[in-house]
Amino acid sequence: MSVIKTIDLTKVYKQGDYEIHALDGVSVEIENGEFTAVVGPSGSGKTTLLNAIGGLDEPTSGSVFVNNEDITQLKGNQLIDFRMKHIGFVFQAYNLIPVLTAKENVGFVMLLQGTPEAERDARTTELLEAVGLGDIMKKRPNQMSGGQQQRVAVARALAPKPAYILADEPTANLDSKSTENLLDIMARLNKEEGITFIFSTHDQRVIDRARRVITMEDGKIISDERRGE
Amino acid sequence: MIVKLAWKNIWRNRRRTVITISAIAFAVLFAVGMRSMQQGMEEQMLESIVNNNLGYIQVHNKGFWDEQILDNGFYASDVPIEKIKNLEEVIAVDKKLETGTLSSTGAVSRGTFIMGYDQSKGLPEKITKNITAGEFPEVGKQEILMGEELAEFINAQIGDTIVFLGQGYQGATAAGLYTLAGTIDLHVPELNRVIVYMTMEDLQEYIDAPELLTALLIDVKHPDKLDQTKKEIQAIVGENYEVMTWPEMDPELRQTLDTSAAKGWIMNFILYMIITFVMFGTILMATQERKYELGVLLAIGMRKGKSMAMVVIENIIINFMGVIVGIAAVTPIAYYFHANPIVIQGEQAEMIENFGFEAVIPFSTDYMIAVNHASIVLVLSVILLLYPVVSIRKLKPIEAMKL
Ligand SMILES: Nc1ncnc2c1ncn2[C@@H]1O[C@H](COP(=O)(O)OP(=O)(O)OP(=O)(O)O)[C@@H](O)[C@H]1O
Ligand SMILES: [Mg+2]
Repeated sequence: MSVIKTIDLTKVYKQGDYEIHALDGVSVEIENGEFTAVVGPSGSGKTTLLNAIGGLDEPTSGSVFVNNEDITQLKGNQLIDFRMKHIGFVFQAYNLIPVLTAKENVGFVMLLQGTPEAERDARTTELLEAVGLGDIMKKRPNQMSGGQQQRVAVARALAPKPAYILADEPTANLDSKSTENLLDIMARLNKEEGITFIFSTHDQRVIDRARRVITMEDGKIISDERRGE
Repeated sequence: MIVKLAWKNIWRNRRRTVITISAIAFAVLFAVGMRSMQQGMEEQMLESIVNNNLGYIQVHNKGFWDEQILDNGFYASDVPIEKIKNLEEVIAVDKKLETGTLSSTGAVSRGTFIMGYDQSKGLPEKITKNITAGEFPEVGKQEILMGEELAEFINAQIGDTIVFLGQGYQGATAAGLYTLAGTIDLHVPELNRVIVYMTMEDLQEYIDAPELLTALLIDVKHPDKLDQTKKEIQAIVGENYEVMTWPEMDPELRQTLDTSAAKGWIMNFILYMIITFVMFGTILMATQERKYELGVLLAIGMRKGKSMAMVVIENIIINFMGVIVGIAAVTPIAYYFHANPIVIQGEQAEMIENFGFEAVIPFSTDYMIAVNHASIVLVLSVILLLYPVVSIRKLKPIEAMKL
């Protein structure tokens, strides 16, 4: 079953007289449980694609179906609420709320959703342990390393049980050890819990571990390769 | 949850929060302090008027104000004083009789101004507490109080007999002998040089016109409703009497007070401009530097309304704290200077005394001053909150999160 389906997605930026086709007719389907890397040179449209399928940015034309719902038709709070319920985000950097502890950050979206405290407490603890941070639940972002922060971000993205997790260059600011660590966690969550991950990256080590690699250039998909384990 | 988050955000940049709170507190302190001083000065001026026998409103026989002679006086029994007293706005009605005459100890004589006071009520404490020598006159003994400088000029000692000589009512000659019971210092040189107080009865006897008055002095509850009160009194006394408010009788003072108030507003305006910039600076920085974070919140599903509420609550708490601290700081200061008025010296003191006022500034402790200025600051801060609210409204997650 496909969780994401884009149809002829385009995104055009006008810059003075000429137009940049950041996305140029992208049609792609992502199946449930995939572990997909979007790769390609700088400026090829990776971020633009992830933003479109995350409901963060409106495409110029085309549709994005998430669980068979066309999210390009959603407006304002509808879209915000949709992201909260169905999509988990891990950004490149600074993506935690600085005044909240690791645990509070992970529980934040559930708090927005009105999840009862007991349930929230159990799930945040479980998730932080799953990403190997059971011992720093009370620390704030500025007391954590970049790798720890990204693991907290993964735990936070997972908390509301989203349909998939989007991560735009999640390892760009991490050293190799933290990168390995984060990849191990994502891979395990994917394998054991069947969570769908889509991430963009330039990092060969990350690409090596992906089970599907979508390569982009000039706003188009130029190759789409599935690999066995 | 929003409130808790707002509270945490307030303390994440402790230094800026403290600076903002202090800036607002200082602004409130200055604004309220300055206004307390001005209003104190104004209150004291107004109070002086009442005590210096001008009163808020006066009733005279028609024509008296332009030609202040006894022949323009009136008889108390011709005016329905009780009716005036019964007006809602009227606190008290005092009878007033005053006349110019000559006072002399034999060798030297001098122009004098005699004020008659109601013997049953005595003189107000404000005057009696300024007795510098001798004591308060006993009723029925033809005793008088005299301004210090006047007594000095005519060379009168306590216990001396003073001769008064002048015009009585309707052309009669007035003459009488009185004993100097005490001298007073009204802190107003002009008055000290001419003033004599004697009982109303003695004065009426001296001018040979029992029951004659030159004016009724009316004390009112609300000095800001004078015009209405004046109309009501005019209706009672009729066309043959003139009813005048203090600004009509002393336009110069009115102007002085108006100028003082206008200056006060200009100062406050400048102050509020400054504080507005300070508050805006804080809000601007806080909003700008948190764009990324607000973008993340939006991306992961926090509705804009909630982000707005959070920022609004943060700023209202900060501004409120500033106002509270400011008021807490200014209150004891105002009370201190209320109890221990600032004494003005030098040229300025002379100027003020020439107006007929004491050269001291007691602070006003009117709590409405604090309430007013606190409200202004809070209203300003709420208006400034439009900035973050509008920014959040326009916020797009990917733009906000561009590094
Ligand atoms: N807001 C914008 N205005 C104009 N052009 C934009 C904007 N955002 C992106 N672009 C352009 O769209 C194209 C695709 O950009 P995108 O950020 O998706 O690339 P990317 O593959 O993520 O690159 P990188 O690997 O450097 O992150 C680029 O040519 C970029 O210059
Ligand atoms: Mg990118």
